[in-house]
Formats: sequence, C-alpha cells, structure tokens
Amino acid sequence: MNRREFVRTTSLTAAALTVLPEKTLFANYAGEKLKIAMMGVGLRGQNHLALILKRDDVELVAICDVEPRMLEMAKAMITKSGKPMPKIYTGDNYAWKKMLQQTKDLKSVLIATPWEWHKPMIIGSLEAGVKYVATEVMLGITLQDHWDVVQAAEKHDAQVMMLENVCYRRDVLAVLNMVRQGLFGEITHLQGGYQHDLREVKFNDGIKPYGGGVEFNEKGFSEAKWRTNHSVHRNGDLYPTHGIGPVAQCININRGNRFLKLSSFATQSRGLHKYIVDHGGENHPNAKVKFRLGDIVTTTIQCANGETIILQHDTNSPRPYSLGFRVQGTDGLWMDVNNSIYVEGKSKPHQWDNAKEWLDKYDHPLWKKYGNDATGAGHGGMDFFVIHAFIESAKRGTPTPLDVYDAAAWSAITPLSEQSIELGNETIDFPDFTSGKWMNRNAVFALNDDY
Amino acid sequence: MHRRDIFNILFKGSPPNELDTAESEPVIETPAYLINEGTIPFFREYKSLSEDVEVSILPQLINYEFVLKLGAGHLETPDGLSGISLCLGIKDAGLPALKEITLGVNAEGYLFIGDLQSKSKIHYDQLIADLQFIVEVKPQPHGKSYAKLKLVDRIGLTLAVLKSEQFSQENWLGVIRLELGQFHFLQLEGRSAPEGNQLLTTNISEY
Repeated sequence: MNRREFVRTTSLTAAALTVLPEKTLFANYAGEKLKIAMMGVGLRGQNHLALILKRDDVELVAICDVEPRMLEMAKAMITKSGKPMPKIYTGDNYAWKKMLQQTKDLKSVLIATPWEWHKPMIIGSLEAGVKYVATEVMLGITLQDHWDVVQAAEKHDAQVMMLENVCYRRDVLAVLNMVRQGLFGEITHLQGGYQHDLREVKFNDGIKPYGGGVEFNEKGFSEAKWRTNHSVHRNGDLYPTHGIGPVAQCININRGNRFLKLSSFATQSRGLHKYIVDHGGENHPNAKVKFRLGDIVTTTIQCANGETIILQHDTNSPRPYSLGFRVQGTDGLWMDVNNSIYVEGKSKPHQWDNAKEWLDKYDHPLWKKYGNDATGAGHGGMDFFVIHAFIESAKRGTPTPLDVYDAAAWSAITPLSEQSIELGNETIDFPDFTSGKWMNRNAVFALNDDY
Repeated sequence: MHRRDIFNILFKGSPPNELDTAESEPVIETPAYLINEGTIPFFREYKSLSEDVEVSILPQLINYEFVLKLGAGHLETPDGLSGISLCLGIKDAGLPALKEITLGVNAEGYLFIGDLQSKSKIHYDQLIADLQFIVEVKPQPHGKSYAKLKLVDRIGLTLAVLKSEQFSQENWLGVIRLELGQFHFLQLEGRSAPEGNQLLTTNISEY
C-alpha cells in the first residue's frame, strides 16, 4: 500500500503510528538524546514524525506548521505515542524563525515543507547554529538557491542532508551491492526517473489530500496547495532526486566522478488540462489554466568518467508507478521495469533472470540488520533508513552519508533542465558544487550495516 | 528456438559464398580528427589578459577538439552595455591570409560569431555580473569546423548558446586579440600530437 492509498483508506488522525511495529528503537537508550525540531508536520512530515516518535534516542523539542488541521493530526500522534508534547509554533509563515530563536541547544532540524521554503529554512537553521539539517527533497528552486545552501553549509561547517529515501530502497541497495562487487563490470549507462501519476496529488477537493476534485492552490489541500503551481509555471524535470540519487551512488558522483553536461526535452502539456476537463468539466475555472510542464520530460546527463544517464519525469499521465531504473555495465544489467537481471557468463545467453534471486543473494547488510525495524515505515521501509542515517550521523557528530554536495547536484537538475528546455534543448554545462573536491572525495554511502 | 540459434545451425560448416566483384569494398574508418590515441592533453591559462598581450591558437590544437574559456565581467559602462569582442585566427606574415573570426556579445545583448547572431536577447542584468564565455571548436570532415559559443554566468548557468559552421579549422589558427572589453582570464584546452610536446614546457609566467 502506498502513502496515497494508505491515507485515503485510513482515518487521517494519528494514522502513521498505527502501521509501525510497536517495538521502540533504542529503548533504554543511555546516551545523550538528540534534540530535534520539525518544520512542517503535513502528511509527509507526519511520516517522519512517526519514525522519530518510535526512537528513544531522540527528543522532539519543537514543531512548527501553519496548517491547524495538520498540527492537530501531529499533536494527536504525539499524544498517542506517550512522548512529551513539544513546543508548538504556528500563526504565520515565519513562525519557524521564532522556533529557531527560542529553542535552546537545538542540534538538528528536520524540514518537510513546500519546496520553496527549503532554502530559507535550511540557511535560517544554519545561521541559528544548527549543525545537522535534514530536508525533504529539493534543495531549492533556482540554481542560485543551490549554491547558497552549499556555501552556507561550508561557511557554518554544518551537515545538510537531503532525505532522498529511494537511495535506501531494498532492491536499489542490493543492486548497489552488486555494482560494488563488480557483477555488472564497469558501469556505462544508467536510467531512472519519477514516473508517478500525480494527477490526484496535484488536484483534490480541498478536503481530502488526494483526488475528489480539480482544485489546487488556495482551494486545494495538502500538496495541491503548493505543488501544482510548479506545473503551471515551470517546464523541466521537477522531481529528479528519486531517480538520480540511487544511480549517482552507483557511479560515485561527487566522489571521483561528477555530472558534466545535461540536455532536456519536454513533450507537449496535455494531461493536467485533460484531467480538469474530464473531472471538472470544460467550464471549470481551472480549465483555463495553461500548464507549462510537459507531460514527459526526458533528461540526458554525461558524467566525467564517461557514463550516461537518462532521467524521465512523468507525472501528468495515467500510468502505474515506476522509477524505471536501469543500471548497465560491461558485464550485465538490472532493469526494474521488467524486474530482471542479466549477467554475462552467469545468466543463460540472451535471456533475462528473474531479479529476485539476485536481489535476495546480494541483499544489502543494512536491510539484513534493520529490515524488521523498517517494516511498516513509510514508502516500503525506505523512510526508516534515511531518518536512521540522519539521526545516527547527528548523534555521533559524523558527516551525513548523503551530504550537501549530493543534495545540490541531484536537486539542481531541475533548474538546469528548465534552462536547457528554455534554450531550445541545448546541452548545458553542469556546475561543480564541490569546487574540485569531487576528485579526491571517497564514497561513504552505505558501506556497511551501520547507517 | 531463437532466430540466432537457427542461423547458427544453418550456417554451421558452410560459410557463405564470397561475391566476385570488381568494385572496391566500402571502407569504414574513424575520421582522423576523432582519433586521439597517443595525443597528450594541452592546457594553458593566461591571467589578467590585457589588450596588448597576444595569444595564439597553435597548429597542433586545431587537429582536434579544443576549448577556449574566457572569464569576463563589468560590461556595464556609464553609457550602457559595452559588449565584448574577441578576434581569433589573426595570421602572421608566415601564414596565408584567411577570414578572421570575431565573436562575443554585442552592446544589444546578443551573442555573435562572425555574421551570425543569436535570436534571443540576454537580459541586461545577467550581463553586468561576472560571466564566462566558452568556445568549443570541433573539427569536421573536409577541414570544416563546428563551433559553439556559450555564455555561462558566475554560478554556472548557461545563459545563451550560439552555434556556427561557417568557418574552417584553418580559420581558427593564429593570434587571439581582444577587440572590445576586459577579461579576467583565458584558458585554452585541447589535445596535441606528441611532436607538439615542447609546447607544454613553456613557462606560462612569460604571458
């Protein structure tokens, strides 16, 4: 069951806690608890909240949101968990600043707000002295936003981790394990994307979070209140990180490799308008809205070590969910769409193997160790691992396994793809956010079963 | 059974008859300008380039793809936008005179290479900050060349691109001269044949 189905079929109040196992992680934890504050406790934030409330090594000291309905849901979850109620900040769009000013000894912040708020909240947190900032995906909107966050993290010597949960998907980590063990030979080509029918996310009735109407912006609820507007005004790969994060790990981007060039192409924009007409009628006011976002945006990236990557963004059309991964090397490949693997010399010539046997055999040590703890956590357990990695890094005072350079390089694909399309599908250069450090940095992500 | 297996059985032990023809067989080979095995990387940077300093694109470089990067800025003057113009391929007395190449951005905010001008105007605010011009030149068959001029802002965002096929490789050979504007630096990057090795030992401080 995915998040959308889950929320639709369950009472919204205190929902997320009910599916997580009763077991508390780090029960009787004797070390210093990590003080954390949350900016944004909407439906996505509540996924993270549920995981935080299950841990005894974390102390939730403050939460902040502007939506009374979301705050009530979050408070109900906290009450049900038996944990102390944190200080609540609300009232206006800058209540988070007050939270930062008034919360003493705050070591970490978790941000789960609309994309356009990520940059100011990250930088605001760093300037307030917070050394560990976790942010939901998308670091910023413009390319300048990405540089601003990178430079702020460097200036304050702080960790900014983008919560790219798909990096921790079980099959993705198993394939990374295979790549690292050389099963596929030298990696040459990778594919990924975000192919997810979001029409019922982008439109709703203003009451339910998913579907039931064709409203968005002020009349919408949850993501429809802000996310749809990006489809009105922007044409590019608006959500690249789920696709690029996992494949970037396979070829050590920012750690011996980097993105060099990018070009993007967009189809015509049809799906969102059609959905409005089909479900709201031709005379609905939103039928007049011109959406800039092409239904399918295809981006090609060239890497310094020679690999190519194809990313697809496909959120406006009827289709089953798929991230469309493909990891290919000189000795074989994995494709998740047909759930298959081929390894020369081990698979029957020219025939696919069912991926399951390979994925089971190369199951990543992290999943072997924490698979049971992750059961029931959001997005098939991936959310557990990404939060776990952030909290463990902050507790130990170590760099986060996904750092600000990863976040910037993955998230900057959006403004760069917009620019490529704007220039008539030009191939454009990819900035080096590490300023040359990529040549000497070593891989740190998921090297063992720790975090 | 797969088609491949069927053909393997059919042709086993019986190679196809060789055709008897007087025609020469078509030859497929990689163009010379794309074969860079045995060549060595070439990189040279010139700091504080001023109008009275001359830099050349050398004969060794034009056999392969090469890139010029120019750091620029301060295009704003009291009278408006000044523009930047670079002239390449200026021949000395020992070389045959060929058409020189001028490129850059004009005072109206359009990229240009020779007679060719970009269709979209670059916003004034983008041109008064630090900029980088990147000229990529790729050899083409029959001595022609494919040139791409890109304007990139200080954070690495490509602002405009202009492509041209109007010049030959020979056109690029020769001295580079700043016609209009100021540059912070100029980088020249490409590949050269081993016999051009001595170029790399040149002390760049002399520039």
